Amino acid sequence: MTETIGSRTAPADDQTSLVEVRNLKKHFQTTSGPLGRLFDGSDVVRAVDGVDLTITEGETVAVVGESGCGKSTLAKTLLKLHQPTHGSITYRGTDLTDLSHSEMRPFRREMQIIFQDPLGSLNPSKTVGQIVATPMDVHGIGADSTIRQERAKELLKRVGLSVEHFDRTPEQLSGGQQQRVGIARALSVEPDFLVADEPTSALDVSVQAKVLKRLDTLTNEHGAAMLFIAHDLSTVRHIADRVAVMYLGRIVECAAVDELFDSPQHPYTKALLSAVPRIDPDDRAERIRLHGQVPSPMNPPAGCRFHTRCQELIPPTEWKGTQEQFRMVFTFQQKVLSGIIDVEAVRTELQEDSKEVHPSALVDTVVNRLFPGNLADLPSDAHNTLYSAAQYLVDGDVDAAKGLVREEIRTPCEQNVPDVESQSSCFVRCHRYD
Amino acid sequence: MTLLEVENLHTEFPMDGYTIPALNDVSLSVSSGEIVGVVGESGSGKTVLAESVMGIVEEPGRVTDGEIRFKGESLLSKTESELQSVRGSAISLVFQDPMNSLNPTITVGEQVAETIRLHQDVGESVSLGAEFKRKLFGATKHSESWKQSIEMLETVGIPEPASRASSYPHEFSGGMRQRALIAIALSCEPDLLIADEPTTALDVTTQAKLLDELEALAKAFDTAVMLITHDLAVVAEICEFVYVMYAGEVVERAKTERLFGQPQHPYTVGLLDSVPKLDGLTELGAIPGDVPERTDQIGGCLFAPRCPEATQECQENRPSDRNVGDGEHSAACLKRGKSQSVDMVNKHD
Repeated sequence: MTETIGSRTAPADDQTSLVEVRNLKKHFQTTSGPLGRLFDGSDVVRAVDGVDLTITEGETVAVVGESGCGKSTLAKTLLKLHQPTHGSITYRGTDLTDLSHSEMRPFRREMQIIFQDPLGSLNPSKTVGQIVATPMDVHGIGADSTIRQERAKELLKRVGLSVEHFDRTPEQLSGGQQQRVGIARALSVEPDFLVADEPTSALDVSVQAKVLKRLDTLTNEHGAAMLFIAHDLSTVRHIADRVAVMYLGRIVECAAVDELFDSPQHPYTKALLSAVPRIDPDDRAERIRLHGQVPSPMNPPAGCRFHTRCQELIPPTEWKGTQEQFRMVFTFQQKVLSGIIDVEAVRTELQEDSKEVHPSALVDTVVNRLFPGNLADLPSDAHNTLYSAAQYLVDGDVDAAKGLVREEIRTPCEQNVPDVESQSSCFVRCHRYD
Repeated sequence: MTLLEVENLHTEFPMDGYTIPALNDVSLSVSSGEIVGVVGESGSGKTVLAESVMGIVEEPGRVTDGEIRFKGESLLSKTESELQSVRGSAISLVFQDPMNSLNPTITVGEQVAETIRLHQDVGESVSLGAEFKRKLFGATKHSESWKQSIEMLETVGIPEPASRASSYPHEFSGGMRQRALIAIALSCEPDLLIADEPTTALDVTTQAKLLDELEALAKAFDTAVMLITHDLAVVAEICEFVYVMYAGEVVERAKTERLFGQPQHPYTVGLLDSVPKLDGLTELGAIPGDVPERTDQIGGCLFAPRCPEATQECQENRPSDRNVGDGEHSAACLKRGKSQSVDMVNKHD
C-alpha cells in the first residue's frame, strides 16, 4: 500500500569534496557583561569545539546527537549564519571563513537550509506560492514572475502539494505540509548543498516518513549534497550515506551508515542506538543507561568529554577490582564533585526516630547515597577512600572531600583527549581504540 | 477489574456553520494495573479523548453522546465539584509540555507537597492561616508532606531528591521536569494515569529511561496507564493493549503483540510501515494523502480517500467494528472481518 523510498545513492566515486570543515569552533559569550568576562573566563559556551568534517558531492551526511550537543550550531556556522570563532570552512575550494555578507551572496544560492520549526520559518503574511518564488526572485532565476510562478507550482507538486495550496498562507497548512513548503523553497534555487536541521522532529511519525522520502528523492534527483541534522538515529538509516555522532561540541564517531548501525564502536553511539524504541521485541537490545546528566558546554569535562557518563570507562592499570566497580566508584567521585548531596538534609531525614544522629551512621548513609552498588567486595583502598571522603563531607569540609576523590580516583579517560586522525571520513574518538 | 469504561463516546466541536466530530463513537476500556496505548496522528482525536475523560474539553467542544464510567460510576453525570475530587486523586493527567505545566515560581518539592496536602490527609492543617504561611514560605522541611514529596521525587528517579526538591523548575533538565510532573501525578496515588505524549519533547536517551520508569512505577503502584502517543514504537515498548485512532474513530484494537504481528486495518499497516527501521533492509513507507479536514463531509469509511484497498463500497458505507481473529482483536474495515478470509500478507514477519 505504500510508496517506497529509493535506495541510497553511493557516495560519488571521484570523492570530490564539496564542503570541508577544519577544526571549526563556535563559542558564545553569555550575558554576564564585560566585567564578568574580565574576571571569569568560564562564561563561554563552547557549542562547537573543534569539528572536522568533509562532505563530498552528492553525499548525505547525518549529524546526530542529543539536545545541546551543538549540532544546530554546527549547521548554522557551516552556512556562515554564525561567524566561526576558529577554524575554516571551504566550499568547492573557496575559503568562506572570512567572507563578508555581500561576498557570501553568490554562495547562498548554492547552499540552502531547511529549518526545524516549519511554521516559524515561513513568512505568515505571504502565500505559499510567494514563499517558494521569492528565493528565485532574489537570485534572479527565471526570466519573469510568470515563469517563476510556474516553477513554484511545479516544485510544490514535486514535494507532494497540490495547486490548491498555492494561494494559502502557511498557517492554513498542516505541519507536514508546511515542512514540504520549506523543502520546495530550499530547492527552488537548485542548491548543490542543502542543510536540513531536524526537518522532521516536529512531525508525526507518519508525516515524517513522507517528508524524509521527498527529501531523499529530491536531493538525489538534483544531485545535491546534504547535511542532515537529527536528534536520534532512527530516521538516519533511511537517508544518510555517512553518519557523524556528536557529543558536547565534538564528533565522537564518524562512519558509513551501515557500519555505524551494524557495529557501532563508540560507547556513546552504542547508547544512542540502544535507546531507540523498537516495534519488534526481538530487535530490542539491552538498553545502555548513561550515567548522570549531560555536562555543561561551558565547562566540558577534561580528556574524553564523554567519560563522565561512559559505561565503558577505563580503570587505571593499578585498579584491582572489576570495570563495573570502577565505574561505580567513579560515579561516587562525580557526585561528590557536583556537590549534589546535602549532608544536612540527610541528617534531618535520619533524625526522625532518634534525637541525635550517630556520626558513623551518618557517614554510612552518605556513602550509601553516593555509591550505587555493593560495597562489600570493593578493593580495600577504594573502600577507604569512599569512607574518608564521606567523613570529610559530614565534618563539613567539602573541599577536602573533593580534593581526596579527585586525587584518589583517576581514569586514563580523563587525563588525555582521545586523539584521532579526524580529517579522514571514518573514525572513533575513544581511548578503547587507542 | 475494569477501571475506566468509555462507551460510544461522541465529542463535537461546532465550527462556523458545521460541526467537527472530534470523537465519533469511541469505546475503550482500561483495567487496573494495565498499560493501554492510544495511537494516532495529529488530529486523530487522541488528546480530545483524554480531555473528555477528565471533563476538560475546551469550549465550544462538548461531549454530546455516550458514557464514561470510572469504577462503575458515570463521570458525565457528575457536577464540576464532584469531578474535581476525581481529578488528581483518582485520575491524573500528565501533559506533553513539562515546562508549561509546572509553576516557575514555586520549588519542585513544594509543588509535589502541595498535591499531597490537597489530595491526601497527612494530618497537616489546611486552615487559611496555615495555607497562607505555606504560600509564603513553602512547606517546612520537617513537614510530613515535604518528606513524602522527597520520597516521591526519589521514586521517579530524580537524583539526590533531598537537595533537588528545593530547586525551581528552570533548574531542572527537560527529562527531570517530566519526571517531576509524573511525581506530582503519582503523589496522590491515582488509580489511572493518563499520559499525553509524555516523552515527545525529550531526547531518545531520556525517553528510554522515562519509559522504563513509567512501566516500573505502574507495576509498583498498581496504577493503570493510558499512554497517548503518535509513536507506535513507544507503544510497542511498554503497552499491553493498543487502540489505533484515525480522524476521531478507533479503527483497530488488539493486544500489542497481536497488533504488531498481524495488523489488519490498512491504516495500522501504513502507520507501521512509516516507522523508521534500524535494520537497513526494510524500506520506509508512507501513507499517501493527509488526514481529512472536514470529516463531516465524508459519507463512507473515513480512511477510504487514502486507502489503497478502497472500493466503491468503502466510499459509501461507514464500517463498524468487526472481529478479526481472537475475541479482543477488532478492526473497523469493510475488507476485513469474519465474512472475509483473513489471509492478509504480513509484511512484518
